[in-house]
Amino acid sequence: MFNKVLPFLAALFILIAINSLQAHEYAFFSPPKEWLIAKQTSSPSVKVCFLQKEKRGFSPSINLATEPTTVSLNEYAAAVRQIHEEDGKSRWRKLGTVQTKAGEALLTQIDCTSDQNESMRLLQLLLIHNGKAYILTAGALKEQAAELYPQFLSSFRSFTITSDLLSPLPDEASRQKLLLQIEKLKDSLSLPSFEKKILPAFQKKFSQEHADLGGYWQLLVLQEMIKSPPPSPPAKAS
Amino acid sequence: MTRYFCTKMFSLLTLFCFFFASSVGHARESIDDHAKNTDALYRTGAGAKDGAYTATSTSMIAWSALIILGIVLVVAAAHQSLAKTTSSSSSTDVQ
Repeated sequence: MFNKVLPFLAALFILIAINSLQAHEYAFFSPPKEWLIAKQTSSPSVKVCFLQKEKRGFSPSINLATEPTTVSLNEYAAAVRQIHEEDGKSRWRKLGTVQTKAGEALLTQIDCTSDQNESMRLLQLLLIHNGKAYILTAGALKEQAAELYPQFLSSFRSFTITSDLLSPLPDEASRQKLLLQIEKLKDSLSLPSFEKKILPAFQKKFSQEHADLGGYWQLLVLQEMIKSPPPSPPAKAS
Repeated sequence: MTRYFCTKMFSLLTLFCFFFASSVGHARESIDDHAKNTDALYRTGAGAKDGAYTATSTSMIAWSALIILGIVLVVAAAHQSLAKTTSSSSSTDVQ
């Protein structure tokens, strides 16, 4: 009997091991160039928000929110429609699908009013992946929305979900270079000039070298790499 | 014959109790599952609602250049990491 149960237990163990390795996933996107980052938001499900600072009035923005879910994308979209149209003033409609780096997502549009009672247009991208809903919301005043569409769509298409934060780097050489740079940075943590000189210089160079991957990816890499030791480089074959 | 009849009745009763208990348990499970699913559907979409709310209230958001926020966050994490290293090395020094 034990011989019959053993393969089943082995398969179960392997499944659990794979699941735990894939446990943490990073989700990020490239915001439009030179947009500023919000220091904090009031909603716990909003992970990050970027905005185009306007001298006067309303600032267009793009933010990423997540929530755990067990429903399908269509069911999720139906629930979202119900929420948006609850007040009777907002209008929700489905625009179609967008191919992102994380897979196919549903693009929706909401016409509503801002907290200052201005007419607004929101584009909301919905994607379900591994029991989690990812929502990218771009907002602008109705009259500004058309000229911002290309930037919003470009940000939507760049949306990525990965368990390996360094996977967007083009090759192993750039990966190793970044790991070495982070290692040097961590070695200089205790130096008196770390905060005022070393770190700003590193971050300036880092953001220039990886400008194509966007500010949010850069922030995630810095946060994760400083918190934990970087993965050791693969052993060279003798 | 009475003994045979009692044995049969007892077996039937046991079977009946078993099916009754499992159906009640199954019903309870179904009610609980239904409540969970309804509750999940009721809360579904909260992320989208939060995203929309944030997008419509950017006038209330404090903003920062990315490089400045990055420096602040990395310094905070670095201080935490240094504090952990210091406390672990001082605890090993104690004999």
